[in-house]
Amino acid sequence: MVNTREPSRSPTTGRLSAEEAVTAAEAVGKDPEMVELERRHTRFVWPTTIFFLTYYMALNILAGTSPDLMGKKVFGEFTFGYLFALSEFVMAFVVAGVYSRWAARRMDPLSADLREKMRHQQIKEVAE
Amino acid sequence: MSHQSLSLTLFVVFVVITLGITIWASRQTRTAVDFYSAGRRIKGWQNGVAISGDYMSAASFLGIAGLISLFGYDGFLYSVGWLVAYLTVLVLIAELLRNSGKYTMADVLAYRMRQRPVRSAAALSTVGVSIVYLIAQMVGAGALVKLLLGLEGDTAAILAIAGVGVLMIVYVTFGGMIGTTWVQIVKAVLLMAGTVLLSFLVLTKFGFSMNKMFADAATASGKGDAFLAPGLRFTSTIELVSLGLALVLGTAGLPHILIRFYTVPTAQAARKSVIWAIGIIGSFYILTTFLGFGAAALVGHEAITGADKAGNMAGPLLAQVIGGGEGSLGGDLFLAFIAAVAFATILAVVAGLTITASSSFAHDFYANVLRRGQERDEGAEVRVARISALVIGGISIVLASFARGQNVAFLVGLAFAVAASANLPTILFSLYWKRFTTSGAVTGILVGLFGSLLLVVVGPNVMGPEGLIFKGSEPLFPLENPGIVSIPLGFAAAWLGTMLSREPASEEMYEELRVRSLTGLGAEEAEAAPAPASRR
Repeated sequence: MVNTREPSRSPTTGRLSAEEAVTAAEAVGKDPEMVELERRHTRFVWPTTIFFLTYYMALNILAGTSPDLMGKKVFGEFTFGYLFALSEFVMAFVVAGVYSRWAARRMDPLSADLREKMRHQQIKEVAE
Repeated sequence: MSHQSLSLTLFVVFVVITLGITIWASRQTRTAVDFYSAGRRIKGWQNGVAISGDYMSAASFLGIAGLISLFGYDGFLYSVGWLVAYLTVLVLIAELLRNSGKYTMADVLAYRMRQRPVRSAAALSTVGVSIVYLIAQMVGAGALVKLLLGLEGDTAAILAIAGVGVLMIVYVTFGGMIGTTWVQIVKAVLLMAGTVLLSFLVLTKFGFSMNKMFADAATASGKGDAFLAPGLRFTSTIELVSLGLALVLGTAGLPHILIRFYTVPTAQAARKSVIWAIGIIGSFYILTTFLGFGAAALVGHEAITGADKAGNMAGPLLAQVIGGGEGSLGGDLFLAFIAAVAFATILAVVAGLTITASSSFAHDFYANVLRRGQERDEGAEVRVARISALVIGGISIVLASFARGQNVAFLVGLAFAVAASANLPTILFSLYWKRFTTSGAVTGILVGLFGSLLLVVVGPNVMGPEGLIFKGSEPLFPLENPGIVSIPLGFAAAWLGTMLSREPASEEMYEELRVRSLTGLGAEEAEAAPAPASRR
């Protein structure tokens, strides 16, 4: 491979420069696939955020308001409070996993499609 | 060999290795994108490890273990908050930020705004948050060196602070982001290895029974079952909610964490790096159970507070006891190892903070405010970044020398509150609110920044009988952590500043930002790797 010290922004990579993207964005913004992408994103991201923030704040609120409940031993020396705190870790791992799967299945194909579409449009414009 | 000289030897070994990495990295660093963002060639998993190394600071390793060992359950709440915070980063910010920015946090904030005011404000809050965070780490380093080398007097602590400062300046000015990344990766591996080993050995002491560990810790603490329940450190619900908000929202506003997402080639890699970070950081924070409760049971309250009032030496002391106790070869060796890990931890975090603050000054303030409209000279920009690393390092050395003896966890908690109040509202509104304007961004940052700082200064940590300075008067603000007031204040200021102004240009560009942030169309690309050394 010939090594140049310039960044490899060759036309063969098919990706757009920042300037080209400005014009591309206008066209993409109206694209039904883009509208769908935004809709999916909004519908997933905000309910998820509300869920994990609520679940997290519940721990701190209970620690403040019900120390007796939190100190109750569920088995052995394991208190309800400690198990609740551990469940926050499990919750974080699960939400991270769910997000990652959702993004790979529901977001990545659409955004790849849109990028591809724009590349074709650019090539067509150049050809014309 | 005593544990002092052992620690010193292990620490020197770490420094030599990391300096080697720095020299190697300096040869890889040719362009601005190399210096600021490691050429965007870092792999997703590598960045995840580096984020872990960037994040798990002296406050996590020394601070949380200390808090749990002294207050039991309440200390563990820090562990939970600092992990869940990564969901905010993952779900709302990481990928969109990677697609829309270039080098600094301000790139995203200023995307559709008037550059000069937004970049100035963002550079101010980046440098501000980073310096507060830096001081905390260097104070921790000073205390550690003083205690470990058994040196007396303030000169030793100041020398230690200066030593850490000089090292971090070297890492950053020569190694740039490539060097910083690898120092963080090496440190994360060391920290995890040390923590897993220590936790395992703690468990062997209790016959692998967590029940026995909890029971012994409760008994040794003298608090009984209260040690396993909330209430020994925090008694007010409002205080708990305030701290919780600062912890869970703060990470998403920490510039030194956010700019790590620019080091990977794509948004998918950014996502992958948060997943890796959540796995590593989550495992680490679960293990703080063994460090904290283990220290409470095996080291004991007296010995922990005897070494350091704030409990910061609980982890290292635990290592000494596990190894066989004071004076034994095993005890000395293990203490030396854990102490060296703690130094490594501090150095890597400090390097990450310094490159963040200096990049922001050079890229946001020097290049886009001072030299706005002039031809872009990336060489000069990187030179300015290197010089500002030197200046910021120097300022931190001086401030940390004055801040000696302050509680490290308090300072880091403060940095989180400031980050959540000043940076998060503007980041979220920039990415998600079409109507958002320059005035909104600037008022949001400034009100959040100065509001949170002011509430700390008039709060019980600085003012009143428990405070640092104004011991005579009662605190004007009752909470230790200002989050519950200052975070909504930051959001409100950003909202109000927006409603009182109108910026059609920003609204027009929103669509472009949405397309770019969600699809990666037009996002900054990875740079080709430089030629191998032999070909030059």
